[in-house]
Amino acid sequence: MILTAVVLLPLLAAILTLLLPREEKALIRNFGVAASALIFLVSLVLLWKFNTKSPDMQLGIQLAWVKTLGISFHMGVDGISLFLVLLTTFLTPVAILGAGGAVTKRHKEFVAAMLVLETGMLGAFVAMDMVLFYVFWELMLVPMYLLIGIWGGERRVYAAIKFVLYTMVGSVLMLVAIIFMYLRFHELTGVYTFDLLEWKRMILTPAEQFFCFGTFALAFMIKVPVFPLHTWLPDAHVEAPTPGSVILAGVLLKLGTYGLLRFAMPLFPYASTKLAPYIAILGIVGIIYGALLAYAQKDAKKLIAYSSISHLGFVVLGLMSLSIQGTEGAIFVMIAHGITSGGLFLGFGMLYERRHTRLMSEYGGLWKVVPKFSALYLVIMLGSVGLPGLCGFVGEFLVLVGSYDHHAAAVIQGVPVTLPHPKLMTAAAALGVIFSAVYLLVMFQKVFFGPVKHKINLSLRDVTSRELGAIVPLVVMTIALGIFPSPLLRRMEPAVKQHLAEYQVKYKASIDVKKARRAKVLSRKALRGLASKLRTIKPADRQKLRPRRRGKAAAAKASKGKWMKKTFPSRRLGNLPGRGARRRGLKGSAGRRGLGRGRRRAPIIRPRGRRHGMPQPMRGGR
Amino acid sequence: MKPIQFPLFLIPLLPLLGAAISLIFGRRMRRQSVHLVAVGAVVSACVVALIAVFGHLFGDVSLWSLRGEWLQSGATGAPRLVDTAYTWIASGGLQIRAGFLLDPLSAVMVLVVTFVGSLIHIYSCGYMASDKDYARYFGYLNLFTGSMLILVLGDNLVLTFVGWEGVGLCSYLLIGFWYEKDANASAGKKAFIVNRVGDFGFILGMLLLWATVGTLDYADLASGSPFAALLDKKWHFFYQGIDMLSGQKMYLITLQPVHLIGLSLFVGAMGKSAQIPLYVWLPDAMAGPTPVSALIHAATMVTAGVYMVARLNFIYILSPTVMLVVASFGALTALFAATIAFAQNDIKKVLAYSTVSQLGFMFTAVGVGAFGAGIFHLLTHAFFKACLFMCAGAVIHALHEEQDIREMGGLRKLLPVTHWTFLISCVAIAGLPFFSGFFSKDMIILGTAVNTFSKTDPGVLMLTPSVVKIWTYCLYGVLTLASIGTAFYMFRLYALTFLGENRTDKKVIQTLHTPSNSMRWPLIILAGGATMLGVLGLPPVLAGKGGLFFFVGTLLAAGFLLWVAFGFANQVAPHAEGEEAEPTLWIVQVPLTVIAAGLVFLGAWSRWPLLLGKSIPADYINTWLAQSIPGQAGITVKAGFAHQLNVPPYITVSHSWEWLFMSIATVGAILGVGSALLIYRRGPSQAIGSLVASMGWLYRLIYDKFRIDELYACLILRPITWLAWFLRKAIDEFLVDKVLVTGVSYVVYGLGWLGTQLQTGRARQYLAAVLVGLGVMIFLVVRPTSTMTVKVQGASVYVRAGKLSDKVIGVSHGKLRTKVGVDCNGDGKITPDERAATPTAWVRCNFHEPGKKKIRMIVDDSRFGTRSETTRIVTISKERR
Repeated sequence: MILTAVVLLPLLAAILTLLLPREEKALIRNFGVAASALIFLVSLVLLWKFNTKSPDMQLGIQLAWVKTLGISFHMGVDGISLFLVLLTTFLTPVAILGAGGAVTKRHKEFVAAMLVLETGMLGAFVAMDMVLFYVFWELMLVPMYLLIGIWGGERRVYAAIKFVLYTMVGSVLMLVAIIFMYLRFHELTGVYTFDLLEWKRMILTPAEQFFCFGTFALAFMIKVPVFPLHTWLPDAHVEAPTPGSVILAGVLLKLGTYGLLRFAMPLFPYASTKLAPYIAILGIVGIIYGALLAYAQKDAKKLIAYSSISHLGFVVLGLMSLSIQGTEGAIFVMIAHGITSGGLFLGFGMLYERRHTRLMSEYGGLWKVVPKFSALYLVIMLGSVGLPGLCGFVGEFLVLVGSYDHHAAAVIQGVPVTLPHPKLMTAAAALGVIFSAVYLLVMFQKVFFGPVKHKINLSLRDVTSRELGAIVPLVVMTIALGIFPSPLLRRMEPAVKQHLAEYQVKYKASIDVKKARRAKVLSRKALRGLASKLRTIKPADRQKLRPRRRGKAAAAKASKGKWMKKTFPSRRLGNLPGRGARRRGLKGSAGRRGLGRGRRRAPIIRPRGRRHGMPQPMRGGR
Repeated sequence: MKPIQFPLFLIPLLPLLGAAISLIFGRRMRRQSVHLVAVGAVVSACVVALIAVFGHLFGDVSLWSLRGEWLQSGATGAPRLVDTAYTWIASGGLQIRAGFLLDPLSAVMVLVVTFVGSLIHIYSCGYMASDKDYARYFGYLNLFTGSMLILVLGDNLVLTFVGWEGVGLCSYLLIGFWYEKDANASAGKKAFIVNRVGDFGFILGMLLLWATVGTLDYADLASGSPFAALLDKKWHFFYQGIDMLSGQKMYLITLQPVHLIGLSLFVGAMGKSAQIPLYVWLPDAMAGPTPVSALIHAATMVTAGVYMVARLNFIYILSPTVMLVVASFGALTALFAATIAFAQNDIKKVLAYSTVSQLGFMFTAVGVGAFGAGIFHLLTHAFFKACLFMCAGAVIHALHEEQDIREMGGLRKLLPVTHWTFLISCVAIAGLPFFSGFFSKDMIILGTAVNTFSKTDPGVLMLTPSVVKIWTYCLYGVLTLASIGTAFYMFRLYALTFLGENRTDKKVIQTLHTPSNSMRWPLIILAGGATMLGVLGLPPVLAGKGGLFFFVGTLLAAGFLLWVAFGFANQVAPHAEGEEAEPTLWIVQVPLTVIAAGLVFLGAWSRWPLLLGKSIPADYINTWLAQSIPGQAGITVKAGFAHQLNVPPYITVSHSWEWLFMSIATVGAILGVGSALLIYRRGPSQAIGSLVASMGWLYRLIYDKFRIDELYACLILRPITWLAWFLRKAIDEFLVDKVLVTGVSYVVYGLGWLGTQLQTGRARQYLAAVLVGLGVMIFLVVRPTSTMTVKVQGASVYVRAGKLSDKVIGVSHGKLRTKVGVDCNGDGKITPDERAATPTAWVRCNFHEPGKKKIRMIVDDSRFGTRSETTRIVTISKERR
């Protein structure tokens, strides 16, 4: 319930904003800040109610949405998404408050757009149903498009269209893959559902995995963005108004890496394992390439945009390393980067508001003029550099540890080896440590140190209390997360371990499927061996698997709070072929051939009573 | 024995709190309160540290008393006070605690940092008296102290790294403290970036260590259990052939994990401790305020690398070759930097290069296994170099920010306290007998000369023991040269600054800023330390019963101090009517006299052990550090001074060796000092000018610091800048954005344009297109099929036209005109029973014997008048029953 509230409250607030009188600019702005701050406070309840030890989806909700198509309103958080949700609710009030003079027209629409954007992002982070996810994923695009296109800089239309087209290309392809999986799932089980947790138990053949992973990964890698797909980002950042940049860098990019972690990797472990080396190399290239390009920029916002590419390279590397430290580090980098790059954009937006130029050469010596602001900006900049004791370090260090020690981790946890030369690759990634210091310090020197070169800069005003309100929380978080990272890490750990264990099990199962495919014939023996895989259920048998209509009494019994059962009566265990099916008089090839004989229930179906879990049986890992 | 808990976190926390107060509220605080907070924070940290080490004096358990018990019980490992604040990072198997550790090694460092730090804070109160940004300054200085204490006290490598980066940050901020000059800001940036290059090595070292042994805790590492893993793997390079004796394959280079770890971490140390090739930032770092140079770039931060190597001695000891590398880099740096210092004219630059050189000495010491000597030199260096820098600061302050020594001279009379303390420290650093520098440098030189370490080395490189032996003698020679050089350039500096005629602008002299009390007293105390600290590391020949020389030495030192005191007193008189309130005579004289008396007492103590029942132990510092440094190769001396600890391997030297090395060092120092004074006593002269002129290009080269900065700019900086611009212009903006991204959009646009060309609006064209399209479609749909489907069941073969899923072939009205026949028996004719009833009907062919059969399908289509034939070979395995 609380999760639904957190996701939908911004939408409500957006509608309320639209009801406010257009002339009351201050009122609209204050309402936006207050509402989003309130939502942040509400989201803190999530943190409070969250069960630290559990790896499962929590605080969830599952309602039938479009029953006939198997679309459900299924949301939940686990240790992976929890802090991304909090990051979103935290950054939104900051961004609205920090908008200041960056937004000079259509205040009402601006606040509404920000709030709708918040709903979109939150929904995408917590959606456990692919259609729901896709809806939220696309929902984000609209307000962001408007933010860039209406309140942006000179080339705003170009940037906005580039942003939308780029993202659409990826996401439309992803939609194709989603529909494919939906149909394939039905083909295999006779159940129409878009539920992610159900899908996670389906094992596709390698070819199918490559296709689906390709489209998913493309969509997400555009969003991240990974090296050759990145050129929309600098343009979007440069043209976006300050709050747009803050949200874009702070949260939106994370949806790409989150998508890789939540969808692409667990659903298609075989393909992602095979492609991981290349993606990891792209991540490393991104680290160095982004850093070098950031160094070559004259435009401060572009510099920060390229620094995002560099930092997110660490996330990609961490995710692909398939180790506990790497994955946790990647999530931590996402959070830390959300705070620091959000802060960098916010701070530079404040300068832009005063001087209306993004060129670093137009500044210089600002420390003398705006000492308070400079000091705050320094902390955020250092956080981004990855100074130990500030938030940037923890994540990057964990990613480096995880990827460096990848082979050992692979042996211990049983995950497949994904990085061919982990030590060399990590060493290359660690070069980013040097470069990040170079470009950010160069930027800081050009803007804040040296003599005041332009007289106009002498009259700049130091931070106002409104701006302080926006930037100080970021500074505080930069320091606090650097000193106390373990509250986050502790909550991530069960979910991350589960992610890796699931990945490992599914990867092995995929290998079995692949072997079976290669043998061309699914012999009876192989079929029995593969009884744990959905692959074993032939399309020809699907007629037998259709759910039978149940009596009213049974339906009433089942509807006692069991959303899943109400929505998917087919999930009853007896519906699958096996001894039970035979006894109940199910005739046909499945019964006769003894598909899955010796197994009372096919493992696609989780045991009763467990709402969320992983495919059974589980091997090793935990 | 369990380590004892002690709230060690207070030691770094207090300065950090002070920093927070100064930085957040400082702008609204008065100058005095900022001073109070800043100095108070560091002094209280010092007090806590003192309690931790010497708390037993108040009846508590302290490191000192713990150590006593430790020695008696014969426990392994180091006696230590520990404190775990909380778990900082926990992820999977990686557990990094925010834990602190005080053992004899870190105790030395903590005391140096807090004590010298306190003095420098006090000094700064006077030095920065006219600066408006005092709060920021003291905030940074406190932040630095806190970070340095984290570095020193951290009980694992990662926490050390936190402090390591923290001090780097403060160094960056403080070098660029006067940020309005671009040069200062650039110097800060340079320092940070060069340090980051080193940190890259540090991080790699940590990762490799973690991957190899799975722990980064010092206590776990020192326990010895991970050592096997460190030597476990071997990577061979450059096959050389088979050894005739042992039959083993020989390789030029054999690497083990420990080598890589040692080298990577040493790269980190190179960056922080300004060793070749990463020393370039330190001379530039002199752009910061002088107390900062004293604290950060002389006494504490730059020694962090030495501390780290000493801390990880048990790892370095496993790889003598890496240690040889460390020592070689150290010795090379010592000589190289000393050479550059000959030709510098900026008072602080000379001191900076001197620092680089002295750090080279320390690295040589730890490299040859004399870790204790390295730490001892670190300790004495902290005192005399801090004193030198602060004296330089006093001079600069007095002369209105003048730093060029050619514009100084004759300051002996104008700034007597500064003069005397500077002189004492100069004597100490030059290694004149009985001052602290003499003893510490002597210990290093002795350690280098008699080091036997590398002689048992399994070897990264195929170095034979004799080569290694010669190599270490070379190191000894280099160090001796460097120490002669040290004596020379220090006294050149002294002579040019304080002796001869004054060359400064008269106006400046008239408005000379004499140092205030808060600046004078730290100088005096540090000079006292520079004189006295040699007591801690007396060579055995001078200690104990043989302590006559030390007795004489302390008497001389005491006399020297008294001389300072009276000189100071004389100076005060003519300035009594000056605008600044001067201290009365007794303030100066009494403490100095007390110290002198103390010296006399110490001398007596050493001379007459029977009188007091005790004697000054030889090599006290090594004994103290021994438990923290199990890897130390102790040096015993034949003439009977038994060490309390029996840590092999001992190297035995005789008193005559000690005498020999000490005399060589003394002669060298006197040579250096004498020649410098001879040449420069009257300031720069014609003679020197012609001398320099005769050196020509060599002098220019040294004067230009060997043009290393330009070399780096050429080799590293510019290529990277060009690469970045190339990537931006050619790859990112052109290739990726223009060609790939915009290119795709143009392709799409072009297709769209083609589409628009079809939309002409002419009905005839549309109609024609519709008709053509219809025709094509009809043909595609109704054309005769030539695919066939074959099913084998037993001895029968079922054949039909089209695919299984096809319900019909062609559209329905063409059904009747399409005739399908299957030639089963291969006679070329279609009999009626071989003809299909409908185009999609099955035709059955029966076979009587197994084997390969050829089946031909003929499809006649009267609509198009075509006939298509398809044949397939079918294998029949069963016989017809």
